[in-house]
Amino acid sequence: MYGIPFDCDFQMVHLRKSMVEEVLGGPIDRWSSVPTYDELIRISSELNGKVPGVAGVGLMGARGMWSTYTWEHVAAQAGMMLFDENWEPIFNGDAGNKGMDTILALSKNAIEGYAGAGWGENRAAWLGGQVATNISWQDSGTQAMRPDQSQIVGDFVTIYEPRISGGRFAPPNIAGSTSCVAASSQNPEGAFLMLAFLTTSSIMAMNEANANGVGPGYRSVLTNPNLQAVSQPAEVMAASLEYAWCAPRLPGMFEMEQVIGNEVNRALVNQISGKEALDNAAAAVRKIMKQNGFYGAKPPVDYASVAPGLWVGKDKALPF
Amino acid sequence: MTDTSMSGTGVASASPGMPDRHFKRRSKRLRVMFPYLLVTPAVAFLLMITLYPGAYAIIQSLFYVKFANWQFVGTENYRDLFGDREFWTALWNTFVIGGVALTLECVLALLISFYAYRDPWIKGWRIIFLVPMLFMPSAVAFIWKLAFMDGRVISDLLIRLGFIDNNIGWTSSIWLSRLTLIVADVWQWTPFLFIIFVAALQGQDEEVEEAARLDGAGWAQIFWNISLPMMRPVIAVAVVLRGIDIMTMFTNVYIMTQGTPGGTTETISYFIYRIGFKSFNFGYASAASVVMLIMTLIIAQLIVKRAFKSGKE
Repeated sequence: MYGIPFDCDFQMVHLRKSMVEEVLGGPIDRWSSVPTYDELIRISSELNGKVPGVAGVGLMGARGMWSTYTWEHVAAQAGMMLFDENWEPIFNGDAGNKGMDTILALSKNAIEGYAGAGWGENRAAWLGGQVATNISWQDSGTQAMRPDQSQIVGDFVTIYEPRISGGRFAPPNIAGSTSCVAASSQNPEGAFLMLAFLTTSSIMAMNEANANGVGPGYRSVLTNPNLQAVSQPAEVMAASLEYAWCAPRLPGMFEMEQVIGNEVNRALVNQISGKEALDNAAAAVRKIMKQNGFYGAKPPVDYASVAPGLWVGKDKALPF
Repeated sequence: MTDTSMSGTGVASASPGMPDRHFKRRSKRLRVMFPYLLVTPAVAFLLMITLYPGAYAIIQSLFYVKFANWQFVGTENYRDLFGDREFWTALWNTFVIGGVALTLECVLALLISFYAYRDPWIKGWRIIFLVPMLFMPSAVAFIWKLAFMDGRVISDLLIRLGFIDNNIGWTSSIWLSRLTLIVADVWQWTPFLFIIFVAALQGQDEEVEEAARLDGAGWAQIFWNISLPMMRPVIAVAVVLRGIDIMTMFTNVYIMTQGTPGGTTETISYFIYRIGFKSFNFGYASAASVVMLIMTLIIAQLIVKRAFKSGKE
């Protein structure tokens, strides 16, 4: 299987400038105005319903990967790692539960329907001005700057990742898209070339550079002033990449994201506790890992080979 | 005079005035086989699109399948399925959501059709009642999703009428979330039952009703004691058709709730889709499909048998 990544998604925190500045009593500093998730919980609580029809926070709490991403985003700041060096799931430990407690607290100030919200629903609520703060992808910032899509142009700020007491700075780079072609194709080389130079280039151009004269496909794109002019989160994303937390791309990972998210969703709607959700998810993930060849003599992926990429901010000086 | 009636083989002879030499020359075996040969392409096509996928699903249900990787696991998928909380939840949700929706659709369709079936305006303009059915199911699901959820239309309406103070979190509550699916289904499919019931009522002998009326029977008595019993086989067929459709309810769930909150609106069809196309566990999804097919057949058979038996009695 040949694959070419064409899209990289960072989870970020976005604020409605006018509303949050009113609560903070001054202008927003992207590094330090909302330094912790406790502060985000306080701000979103204060803003929830203050303006009719505007909720305190938007988050993606739908079943499946959406809930997983939201929980991973926050739990990563508490120090959560998904697996130990033997590929045993450890995300149901203290750090994972701290992340769960945090999103459960945030959900009390969340927009109605957050438990069914994936990217599309969250996007609609954010761009339509229905939430005062939002935990979402970097494109929620880019799109918010576009008058043809957004009702909050000029009234939002994308901030650097808030921390959790006793945790770390680990902005999550946890999703993306890859175009693939099977090596068993009749003409794999031709298919690969088509993928690389036609499909991928065009999608990259649309998604990231967005027809603003920025060449696609390079990290330096994020620091390009042309892109930053149309994408406020680009600068935040560029700095955050140095400290990114990532989920390993393992065989069966997508299935694991589904089962984790289903359990997180059950916790978000009070069917089970957060701890029960993570314990259930850990058991299900272990089963999937086993089905995919882990825990045997030769696991399909060597932990040591992926470990450096799981949190690239390890041992680096904090940027603030 | 040439015989133009059906021959003993069931095949028509040649046209009038023409000797039937070709037909007579055929062997007896060919004459017997000829009708079967004619229907063979249609039967083969039907088998290809029904029996082959069905057999494929049964075989696949005995394997752990991840794309090209097939591992024989025997009945393990079925054993796992019967111990799977999510499967039973999905089954329960299907019965609850489908049962409530089907009951409402039946009651509404019966009431409306009984009020309307002698009305000349209804006779002339019954197509209007079919309009919801003519929309694409996905379009209907999006309309109701906008109304309930993203567009806050229902919440806004209720706030303006003074019934509530804040927007309703439809997908945060089990029953509210189920209600959204039920409303969408009832809105779209009540007309289907209505049109069947109207046709059945219009086909009933007016003189029977007239006689009952002369004997002093009121609207309700005519409805309960005459029209309804006479309609029982029609109702059974309509309920089975809608019931099978509801058992496979997918579009509304996929677009409106995706099983939220916590899987309490996940129907069996969505469960199968999720296992097959989100978890890529095709063998397990096939096992669930086979179980669902068997259950649907049993339920349909029970309803039809009971309804028709009662009708004869």
